[in-house]
Amino acid sequence: MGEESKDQYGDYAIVEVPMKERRSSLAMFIEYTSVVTCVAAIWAGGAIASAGDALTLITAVIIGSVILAILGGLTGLIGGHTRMATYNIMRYPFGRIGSSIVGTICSGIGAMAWFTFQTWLFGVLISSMLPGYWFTDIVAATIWSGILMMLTALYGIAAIIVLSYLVGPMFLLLSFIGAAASFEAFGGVPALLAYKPPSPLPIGSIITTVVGFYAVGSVIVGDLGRYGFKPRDGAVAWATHIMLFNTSLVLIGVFSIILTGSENIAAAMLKIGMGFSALVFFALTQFDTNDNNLWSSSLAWVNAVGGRLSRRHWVAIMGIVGTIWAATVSAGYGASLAVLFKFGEILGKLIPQMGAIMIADFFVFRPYVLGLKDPAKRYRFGPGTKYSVANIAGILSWIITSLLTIFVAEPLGITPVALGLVSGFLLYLIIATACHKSGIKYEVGEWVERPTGF
Amino acid sequence: MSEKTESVKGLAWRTNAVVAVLSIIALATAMGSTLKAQLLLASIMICIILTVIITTIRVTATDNLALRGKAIIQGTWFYMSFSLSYIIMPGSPYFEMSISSAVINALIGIVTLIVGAYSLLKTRKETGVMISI
Repeated sequence: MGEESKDQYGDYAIVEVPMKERRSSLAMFIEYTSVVTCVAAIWAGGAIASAGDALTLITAVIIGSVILAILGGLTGLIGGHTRMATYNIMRYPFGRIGSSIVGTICSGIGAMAWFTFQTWLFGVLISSMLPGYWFTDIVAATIWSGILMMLTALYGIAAIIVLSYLVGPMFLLLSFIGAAASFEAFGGVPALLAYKPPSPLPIGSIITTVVGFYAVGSVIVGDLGRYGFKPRDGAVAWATHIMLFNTSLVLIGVFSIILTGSENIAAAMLKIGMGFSALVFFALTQFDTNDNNLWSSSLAWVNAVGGRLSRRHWVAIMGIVGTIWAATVSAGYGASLAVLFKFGEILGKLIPQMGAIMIADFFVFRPYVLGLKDPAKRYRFGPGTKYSVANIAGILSWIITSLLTIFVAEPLGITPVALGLVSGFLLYLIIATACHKSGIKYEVGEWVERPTGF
Repeated sequence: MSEKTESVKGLAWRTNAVVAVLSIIALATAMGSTLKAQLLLASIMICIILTVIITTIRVTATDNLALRGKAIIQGTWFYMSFSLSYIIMPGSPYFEMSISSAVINALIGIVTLIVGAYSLLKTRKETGVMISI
């Protein structure tokens, strides 16, 4: 690390997390579980329920979760070693301006889009469970919930962790109780096995969607992982929560929709007889999930824009934009979850390869091609540090891989997310290594880090 | 320092004992209720008792003030979170609990939250460990 930077933007958005601010692995685990997974995973399960029979869906969810655990575990480890947010880490594999562009697509817009969708889902929830009032109309509920959900993100990481601690364990306990209730009330395993999907899709497409729902989260694991006491804390917490809870929560969503035959989770809970309790439960957990999206988005914008706008300014700006967007979505699509499936699929085709390129650079290219064996010394940050303006190898690999996942994967019958991960990883290594060995300049321009970390 | 460490340990014992007793009382309110209600309250009680046991072991296992503070704060968050279930769930028609039982459970949830809030603030003051540890 270079000279110590000043935290001008808040929550160490573009500077190293100091020792006094580091958190326990349990805090990381709770944070990932309740903020990142939480109720979004159940909604996601509900969205894929019509795409396959029970066994196909279980297989797709398990494979998708394994991919997420590996991808997020490794990006979290990079955050743990460097103590920097994802968008700073991206300065090496994509260059300084490249990191601004890729980080903005991944999190500045990607996480903000998640905030938008979850705000819309909150509107769906309120309008489904408490119909007939002006303030529970889907558009009205979307707007006031968006404003409410900005509050903890405005305050910062401490408020987000406190809310997660308060809601997370209760959420996990009651999710399993809710799943048991839907099994008990609607025929259990025989009913599940007898289910015929109304619009079946190839398993590769379902896996891509499962990964896509959490693609942004798995690439930005380092945003939280950098707060761990030990470098591996965030990575272990991530992989554990994915395998234990992402898998089970997505499947709870799948099973609830299949068994109750409802169009969404809120309606399913009403059908089971959970009544007002389910409304309170979902409202709390949705709130808990969504603040982190906005927080991550604000970190990416600080890295991209800098200047006088702090992390809080970006939370407010992105929160307002996301809320207006969510209101537009709710006016256009109402409570249809088809748009959520499509959203997950798009993210699954664009985001995972960003993580694969970061992993290739940190774990293979730097130690084995550049000879930087010590993980703590592979990346340097701090005032005066020189970065390239653009890393052509990283940017080109991401563009080519994204074109492959969008246009080539499905016609060839290949799972898009698998193609994205493998080709992103290999392409970066091939281009960067070939350029390095043959003396071709692949890192162009020079950017010197300022005292603020920008 | 050692006096402070002991007083923090005493605080952990007292608050965790109160919370454990409250969860047992909550389970008792399900007597004569449906099996679903009994299973709900038993699940919450098991989670709270496990949290109390783990917290007590962690608090007793160390003499370090900061580690003790961390164990108490994390345990407190867990039982506070589980106690939210007492407020949210018993009123649900699915569990078919009587109104009086649902009200008693909600009160137990509120009291547990108050005990938890006291424990968090006191532990932070005594140990200096942040609440969002």
